[in-house]
Parts: sequence; structure tokens; C-alpha cells
Amino acid sequence: MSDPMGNIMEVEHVDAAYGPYRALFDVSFTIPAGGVVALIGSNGAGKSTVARTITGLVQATAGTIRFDGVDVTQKPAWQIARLGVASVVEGRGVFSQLTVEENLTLTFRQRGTRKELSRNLEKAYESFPALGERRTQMAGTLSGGQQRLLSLAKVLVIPPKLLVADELSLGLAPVVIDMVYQGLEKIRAAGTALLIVEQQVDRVLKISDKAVVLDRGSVTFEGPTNEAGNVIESLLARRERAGSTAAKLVDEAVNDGVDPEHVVSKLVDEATKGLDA
Amino acid sequence: MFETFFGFAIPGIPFGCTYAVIAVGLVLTYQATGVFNFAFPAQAYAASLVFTALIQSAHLPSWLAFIIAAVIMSPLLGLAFDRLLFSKIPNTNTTAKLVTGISLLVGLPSLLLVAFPSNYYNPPSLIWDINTVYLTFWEIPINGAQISSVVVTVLMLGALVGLLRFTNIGLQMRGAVESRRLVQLDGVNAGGVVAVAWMVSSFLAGMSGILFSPNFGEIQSQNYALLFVFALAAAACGSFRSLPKTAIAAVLIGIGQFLFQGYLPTTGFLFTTVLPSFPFLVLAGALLLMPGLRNLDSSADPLSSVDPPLPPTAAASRLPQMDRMIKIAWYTVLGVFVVSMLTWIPKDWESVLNQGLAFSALFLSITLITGMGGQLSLAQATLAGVGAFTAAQLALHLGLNFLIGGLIGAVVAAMVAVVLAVLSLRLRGLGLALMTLAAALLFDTAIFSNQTLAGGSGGLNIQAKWLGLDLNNPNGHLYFIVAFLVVLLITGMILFIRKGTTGRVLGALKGSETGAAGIGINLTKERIMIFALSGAVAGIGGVLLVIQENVANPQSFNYAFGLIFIVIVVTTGVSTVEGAIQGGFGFVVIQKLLGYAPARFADLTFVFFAFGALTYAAHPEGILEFQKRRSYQRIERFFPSAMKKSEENELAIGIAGGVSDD
Repeated sequence: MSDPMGNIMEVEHVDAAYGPYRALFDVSFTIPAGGVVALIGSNGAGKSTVARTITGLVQATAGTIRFDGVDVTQKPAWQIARLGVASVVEGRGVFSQLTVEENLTLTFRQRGTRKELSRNLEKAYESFPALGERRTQMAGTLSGGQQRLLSLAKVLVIPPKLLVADELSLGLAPVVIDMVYQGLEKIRAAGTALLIVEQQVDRVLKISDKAVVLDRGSVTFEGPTNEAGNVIESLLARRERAGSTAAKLVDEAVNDGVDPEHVVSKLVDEATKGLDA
Repeated sequence: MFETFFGFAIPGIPFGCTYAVIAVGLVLTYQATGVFNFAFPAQAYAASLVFTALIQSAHLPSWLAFIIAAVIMSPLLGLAFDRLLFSKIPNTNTTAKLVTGISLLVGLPSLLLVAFPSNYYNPPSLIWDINTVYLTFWEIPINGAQISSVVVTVLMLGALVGLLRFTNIGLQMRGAVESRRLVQLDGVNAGGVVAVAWMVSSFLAGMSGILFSPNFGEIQSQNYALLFVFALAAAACGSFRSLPKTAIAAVLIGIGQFLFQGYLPTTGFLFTTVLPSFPFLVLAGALLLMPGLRNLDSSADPLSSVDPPLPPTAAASRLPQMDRMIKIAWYTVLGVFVVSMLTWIPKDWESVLNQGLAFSALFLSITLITGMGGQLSLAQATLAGVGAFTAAQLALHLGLNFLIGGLIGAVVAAMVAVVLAVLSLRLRGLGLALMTLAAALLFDTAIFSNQTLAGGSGGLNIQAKWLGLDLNNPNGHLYFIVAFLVVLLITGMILFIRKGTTGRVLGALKGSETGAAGIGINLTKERIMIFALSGAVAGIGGVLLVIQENVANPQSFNYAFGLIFIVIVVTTGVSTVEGAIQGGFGFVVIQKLLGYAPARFADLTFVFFAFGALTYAAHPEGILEFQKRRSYQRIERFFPSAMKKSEENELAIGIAGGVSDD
């Protein structure tokens, strides 16, 4: 059941790290039940880390993540998935050494019963005929777009409570992106809440109810989608300024014949100041 | 004619089935867990040893001994391997998986010898008696052990194909081997699935060990290692993927072996040299010719970026002040060492430390090829042997000074390494490791066992007149001075290479071959160069070793040492020169110290290093390297003013390493 405020997921003051390297700092936001949240930010902002942390692939080092009223902060990914969180990961998110049908079977046997398997497979092939034609083909030999459709077919047939979709449009042709977004609309229509991690801001904001903007591992904005565009533009402008500062510092240092190690140290210092300004 | 043919071929079938059971078990583990289980023969040995001990020493009935050894102990051993070791290794880290398996192969039998010091002969049959003839074909008697092999192979193959192809857990296993994380996102308990796979394959290992031990007069780990090599060739023929193809190949290898034995004249070169190398030739041939083996381990986990990046070396992350302190400490230790060796150290310990210098030189070849080049070679002991025997042969037949011959030996070792590099140009990770292992085995059986080339089992004694210098005078220090200078020279060369363009190129290759090729680096040239350099250094190490031991003994360079050497260097730190040197000295000093303990503990040296290498899963930089970095961090706490520098370093490394994931 969703919490009384109508949120399917609540992320509170979450930190996360890859070994000794911290990637998220005090991240907080909510995902309304049945709603669509766009998680946006530039390269290196920590978007994928957020997606991985709430699906259990990366363990939070601080804070709390609640899904459907259950504290899932320290739960492994498979337990979170069984609670109703599905994920479409960035890039190739299918088992390349299994056939299309085996990929679907693997998912449907976990989310549905054995008796329903044939029916679920047929549903998937009806929704995405291209997959039906390639059911015995190794998933690794499908095109990028077809692999994305296969990932979506897994969640479309048995809709989860929450779908976390990471960089769905990455590297796809516009016509395939259209198909992918149509798939997302169908999943949303089935009552599934969506967290869409995207760099294509315009596209994702159109189907979202709210936006969360990340910058260098922290949430800088959470609110209506119509305000998110301005925040992103302001971030980009700051980044550009920081980049110019960095380039200037390198030039100065090289001209002064300074030790390269000091150049890096100074660059890190100054670039960080530039961004904080 | 047909009678003769079948007379030779039929006895090969049960042997082929023996290889098939092990090969299929190997493929199952590889397909279901992504681990090429080098520990398989150690597991088979453990089960048969416990089974026989329970019957012969504890006087348990054979069915109860089987339940304890195969049904309970073996799966639990597999479960322990998975939970404690392999589950901690990132799926894409082939080197860590291989080294961990090799550590178990080396360490487990040595540990068992401590627990079971008695020798066990005539292991009992489990089902049908080996001494009873149950059937005859073309007047060929078929005994109980042979029937067991065939029946068990057929039953097991059917069960495993069914498990992997037609069950839900089989599908989950195949998914988990590609990406444990991705399969978890589908709600599958990947850890549980892989643990089941380990338990099933370990049960197979135990069962095969027990079933086939009656074929051996005595329970010895080497017997299982030999079976493993035959099985390896069969598994390669099945591309480490197809269970039926693997089983068929294994049976054909068994038949082929017996046919050759039957038809070849027993005194010819083919019988004495090529036939013993038959499985290695099959393995090498499969690796060369089968396209499927070129892409082993190529199916990268799509979620591999979740793994944290490797930490920088301890030396790279320490403070400048500490850097200076460490350097001063090293020079002081070096000075004290040299002065001590030349003045007060007892002769027996000087000899041990001299041997340590020779091993250090040899181990530096592993630093070059694995630490810097990122290539896992299991043939470094063989290359050392090539250098040593070349020098010995040149001295024996041409009267050439052994030291000059040693340099030529190093060149010959480099040439052998180049041939190996060229043959394995298309192989990576596991494929390359297996190719180098096949080469090592080939040299063991075809070259090092040859009376003319290597002096037979006793080896070639190094005569004083070959040396020219008084190197082996027990009252002098000349060997120490020469060996010390050689190690110093090799160390300097490696550090010079590492800091220069070549070092950076090798770093790029190690990071990403595709990326390196993209910026115009000639992969072939660089790979051949690092193999050649490493081969030459190994050759020099081999020459130093035989001078110190006064004999060029083939046993010192067999394939098992190639495996042990890797394990040692990985334990002490494969990416640093001090790791190799510490490994060289650690190896001989621990052996010397264990010499004071009861004889049963003699083999514990390998156990020390094997268990050290097991930490490779958690600390791929080497356990000593990890401890060094931790010590530096502790010391850094006493220098708070310098902490800022350290954080900057970490941040810069993070930025350079692309820590950000999206």
C-alpha cells in the first residue's frame, strides 16, 4: 500500500558511494503513486547512481529509502524487485546470451505464475511484434532499439508498482525513441509510477508530473516540470563559466612553467570554487 | 583389422567417459557461475581422500562414507568457495577468478596433507568392483570401474542438460552468469542461484573423484590434476559452452589416446614425446582454431560500472613527506641488507636469501606481464626453465661460459614467449591463461622430460668450470653480488619502462584494449613486446636459480610452479616491483622456517600464499599492497596539515578515473 501522502517511494537524506568515492550527498525526493517523475541533470550529476541506489544495486551509506511503506534501504536488489520495483537499466539491459523468449521467460516466471507464462509471452509479442518474429534469436544480436523494446516488454505485460527507467533514449534513432515513449505511456496507463532518468530534458518533461534536478550528487530542485527548465539552464551556464575558468588556469599555469601536479591541484580547487559561486 | 581397431579403441571409452564427467562438471560451473574452476581437481581429490580415509581408517561402510564425502562435504565445500570467495569477485574480473581458483588448486591439497598425513592405497570401488570383469566386447574385458564411468557419464549428462535447458533454475543460472545484478532486477536471488550451481558442480567433482579413484593405486592430488588436463582439452573442444559436445570430445580424446598408444611404435618420437602431449596439443589446437574460445569472458556485465574502481597503489596515494620517508627507509633497508649479507648473516641463511634474489628476478617477469601488461601467463616457470636449460646446453656442448649462455638463454626464452604471444594474439583472459598453461604442460612432457635436452628426472648438474667466476664458493659472496646487481638492474629497467611512454601505453592496454587501439596504439606490437621482455626476465631468473641450486632440475620449472608463482606474486602485489621482491624472499624464508617444523607442515608454504591470494577477491591490488595503503592512511592521521593534499589526490584520481557513472 502507498503511504497516506500518496507517495510510492520516499528517498530521505541518502548518501551513496562507489568504494571510497562518494557519488550522492543528502539526496531527498518523493515519487507519487502512479505519477511520473523526471530525474534530470548533466553528465556526472549522479542520476544513474540514484536509480541504482533505489533499486538496491548500490547500497546507501546514509539516509532512508521507503517503498510502499517498507524500509528498503539495506535490502538487496532482488528483494526490492519482488516488492514491485522494476528497472530498465542504462545501455544494454538484456541477457545477450539468452534468446528473446528466454529473456522474457526469466522475468515472467518471477513476476507471474508458471500457468500464465504462455499467455504473458503472447501478450508481449502482441505488444511488440518485432520481438515475436525474433523469439529464438539471441538478445545480444538484436539492434539497440529492439533490445530497449525487449526491456520494456518485460515490464509492460506484468506492470510493476514502480518502474525506474535509466537513459531510455540513449543512442536510439528518433523513431525508436517515439516507440519507447509510447511504451512508457502504456505502462503509466496501467497505474505504474515511473522514475525516468534522462538527459533529453524536453522529451521527458512533457510526460512527467514533476522533476528532480541533480547536480554533482545533490538535489538542487524538486518541483513542477515547468520550473525545471530554468534550473537546468542556470546549471549549464554555471558549468560553462567553470569550464572557462579551468581552461584559463591551465593556460596560466603552463605559461608560468608550474609543476603539472600543482596545476591539477589548483584546477580542482578553483573549478570547485567556480561551481560553488 | 576391425578387431584390432576396436581392441585398441574400446578400452579408451571408459577413460574418455572419465574425462567427460570432469569436463562436463567444469563446463557446468563455468556456464552457471562464470568461474573457470581450477579448484575442480582439488575438490575431487578432497572427496576421494576423505571417502577412502573414512573407510580405511574410520572403518565406515562405503555408502555412509560416500554420503559424508560426496553428498555432504563436497557441496558444502562448493558453498564455502562461493560464499567466502567467488561471490565477492566482480563478474568481469577474470584474473581474480582465475587466481582464486588456482590458489585453491595449490592450497587445498597441501592443507589436506596436513589433516590426512597417512598415505592411502587401493581406494575402494563405490558401485561395481574394479577387479571384477562384468562384460566382454571383442574379447576385451570390461571391469566395474569402466562400467561405472560410462553409466555415470550418460546419467549425469542427461541430468545436467535437462537442468540447464529445461528448468527455471537452469535459466536463472544462465542469466546470473552474464550479470548477477541484472538477474536480481528481475527478482531472482542471484546469490542463491549461483550457490546452488556451486553445490551441484562440487557434488559432481566429489562424485567423480570417488568413482575414479580405484583407477589409481594411491590417492595423490597429481592424478586428479592429470585427469583435469584431459578434461580441459575436452571442455575447450565444447567451447566451454556445450555439454554434449564436451562429453563427445572427451570420449574421442580417450579413444584417440588409446588408438595412438596401440598403433604407434613404442620406441619412436611420436610415442615417447608427442603422445604424452596429446591432451595439451588438443587444448592448444582448440584454443587456436575454435572461434568461440577467442571471446571467452567477452560478455561484459552491463552493470559492471556499479563496481567501485580499483584504488590507486599505496605509493601513488601517499603524502610527499611520507614518500620521502619511505624512500629513505627503503635505501636504509637495502644498505643494511647488503652489509649484513657480506658480513654476519650465517651461510645457510645467505644461501636462502640468495635463492630469494633468484626468485625475485623470476617474479619480476610476472610484474611485467601481469602487473603492467594485464596478461595472465601461467608459463613463467617454463620460460625460466627455457633460459636455464639453454645456458646449460650451451655450456655442456659448446663449452660456452654459463653467464654468457644465460644471456643467450634469456633471448631464447624471449623468443619462445614471442611465439606464445603470436599464437595467442586473439586470446584474452581465460583463453590466454589456458594457452600458456597448455604451453607449460607441453614443455613439461616434450622438452623438460627429455633426457638429452634436460638431463631427465635428475636434471643437469651445473659444473664449476662452466661459470668462469667462483660463483658457488660457499665461503664467498660473489653469487650474492651478481644476483643482487641483476635484480637491481631488472628493477631499474621495469621502473624506467613504467615511467616512460611504454609504461603509459601498457597502462592504456590494461585499461581498455579497444580504447588503446582507438588512439593508435599497435596492440599486437605492444603485446609481443611485453611477452618478449617478460620471457627474457623469466629466463634470467631461471639462470640465477639453477646457478644457486647447482643443478638445472626440470622439476623446478614444471607447470605447477608456474601456477604457484602467480599465486605468490598476486599475494604480495602484482602491480609493484616490491611486491615481486617481497614474494621472492617470502617464498624462500617461509620454506626455510617451516623446515624447523614437523615434516607434515613442509607444504604449508603454498597454503600461506594460496590463502593470501584468496584475499585477491577483496583486494585486487594484493593483500600486502592493501595493508600498506591502510598503514599509510593511519600514519596520515598524524599529519593533519597534509590531509588536504590527500583529498585533492583522491578527487583528482576520481575525476581522471571517471568515477561518475552517468
